[in-house]
Amino acid sequence: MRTCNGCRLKVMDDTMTCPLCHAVLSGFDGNRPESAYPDVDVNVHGYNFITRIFMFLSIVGGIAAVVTNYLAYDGVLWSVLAVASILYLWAGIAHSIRHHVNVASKILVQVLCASVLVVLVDLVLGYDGWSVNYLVPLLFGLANIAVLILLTINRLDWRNYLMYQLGIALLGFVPIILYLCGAVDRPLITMIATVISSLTLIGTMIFGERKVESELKRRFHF
Amino acid sequence: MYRVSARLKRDVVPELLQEALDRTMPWFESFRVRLRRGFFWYYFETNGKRPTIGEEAKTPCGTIDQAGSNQFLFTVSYFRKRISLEVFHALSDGAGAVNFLKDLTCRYVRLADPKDPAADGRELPSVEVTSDPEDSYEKNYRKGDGYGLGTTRAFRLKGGKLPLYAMGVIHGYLDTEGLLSLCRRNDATVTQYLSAVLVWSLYREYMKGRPHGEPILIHLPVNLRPYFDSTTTMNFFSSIQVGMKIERDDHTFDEMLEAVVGQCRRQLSKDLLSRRFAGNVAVSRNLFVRFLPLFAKDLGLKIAYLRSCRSHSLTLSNLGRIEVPGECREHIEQFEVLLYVTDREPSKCGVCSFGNRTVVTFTSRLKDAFLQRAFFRKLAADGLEVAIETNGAYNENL
Repeated sequence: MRTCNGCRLKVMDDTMTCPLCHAVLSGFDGNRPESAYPDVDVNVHGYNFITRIFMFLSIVGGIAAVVTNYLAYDGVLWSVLAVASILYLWAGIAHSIRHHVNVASKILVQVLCASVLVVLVDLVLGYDGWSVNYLVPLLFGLANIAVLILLTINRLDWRNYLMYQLGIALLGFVPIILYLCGAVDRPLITMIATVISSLTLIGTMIFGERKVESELKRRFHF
Repeated sequence: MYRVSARLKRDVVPELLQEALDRTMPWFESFRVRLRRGFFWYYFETNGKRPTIGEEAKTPCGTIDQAGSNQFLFTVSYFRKRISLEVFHALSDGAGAVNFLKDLTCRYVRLADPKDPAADGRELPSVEVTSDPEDSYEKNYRKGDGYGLGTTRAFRLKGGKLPLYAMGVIHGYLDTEGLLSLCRRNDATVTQYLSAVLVWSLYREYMKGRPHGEPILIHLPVNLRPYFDSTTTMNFFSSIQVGMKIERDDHTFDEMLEAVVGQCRRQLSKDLLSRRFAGNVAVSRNLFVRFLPLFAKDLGLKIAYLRSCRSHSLTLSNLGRIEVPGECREHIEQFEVLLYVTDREPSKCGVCSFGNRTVVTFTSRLKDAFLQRAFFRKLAADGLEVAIETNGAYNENL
């Protein structure tokens, strides 16, 4: 412990200068006190640096794709796909590696992003309808099954997945709506997805009973 | 977010601290929750997981990692002789957090003391009320005129920031007896006296003793429990503002103290305090507000927060005297309270006292410790013995 004559106080840190006025301390009493705090963190930059490298590479890649596409244009706007994929990577990864995010919510976000991406690919490559005919209903159907598996494994924590499960099940009706609007001409997978969604909803109502009711009440309490 | 800590006389043993925490948890129902987002409101949900302890993070009150803390709204950590409890303000105010920390510390001390025959720590809690989830705002709400603090722009502290989002911590150790007799001589309470010293320090250091267009306003949180006879373990506090506009260049400290004491006495009446929170309760009961989706409410709160930041220069939170049962007292050195700071509110001051030691803790994002220097120099000039300890953020080689 040392003393600062300017501030007229004792300094309990293991330091030669006063933290308040930076004057040199005097009157060392022989005790070198141990620090009461961990060393101040100076490593924040390291983590950010990796993010910055990826950010930079993404931007360079995106610009390179657009410029090449423009200079060597052959009728296909493939650079849109490149940029969309980069954005999907960022949005998808940013959400999926955040570890406190509910797994069911990761599935939901991935399915939404992936659906937008495949429809975009279909559009850019001269619309064929394969995205809405096959891939989108397939994605929704698989998401439903994935959440059901999650529920079976984690039965006790069902409450946490419930809202996402209901959300994904309701999204499962998007393909059938597209079919009714005439956007889908090969309805086989759409039908399967719709059946899975309906079964999920009915199953939730029958087996969930009070749990579903109380969860909905809590969520929509006003 | 804020941190309350107990500094013991010996190093903390992590295994025993975990054990003590496991035994504390069943008593504190209101801490066993996690926060969920509803469509219209946030809500608490019972959290069945087990909270785990860890060594203190590098930055005090950095973030409570939702996954790492098993979604609890608090974390318990240790460093050398200190047990720290970091709490989100949504969970409880300072009085509630101190209650929890006291019980945890006493249980730990009993477990750690091999001489104690009753060292199984399974006894009753060492605080009077462990769980009372009453919403005292709603209960004590009376319809009537709200009373706001006004939206005058107050003088704000500015200056270079510490690098890398570091937070500077300076503890000032004062002798409680000396401080009390100093306050008694000046006919003021500790909070009033320290607030006046803060106003004085800002006046001398930041205004260079010259008149200034914006008033110096110190924001003082007030524990409402004694006023409304409540024992809730949830939030129940309000706040008042004291300070003055500097119009001359020859203000004396006594003048400032007199102003602060007068303002405190005027504002600390049950009637005015209840009018202070009546406005908030009325808003939360408003049908239109109730049906606003949560993100819109978040936005509204953000705006209200930014506006309230503008209206005060500094926060001083005094948790007062902390008492623990007799047999635990000898193992505890001191209690400390640290308030979380942001770039918008770059400095704050937390005070609490235990036995004959009063700890005044300044947390700050600012690189220069002008305010702290003036503050402690003034107390030293008043004849108090002052010792300081820092977290090293002001060290010359950072």
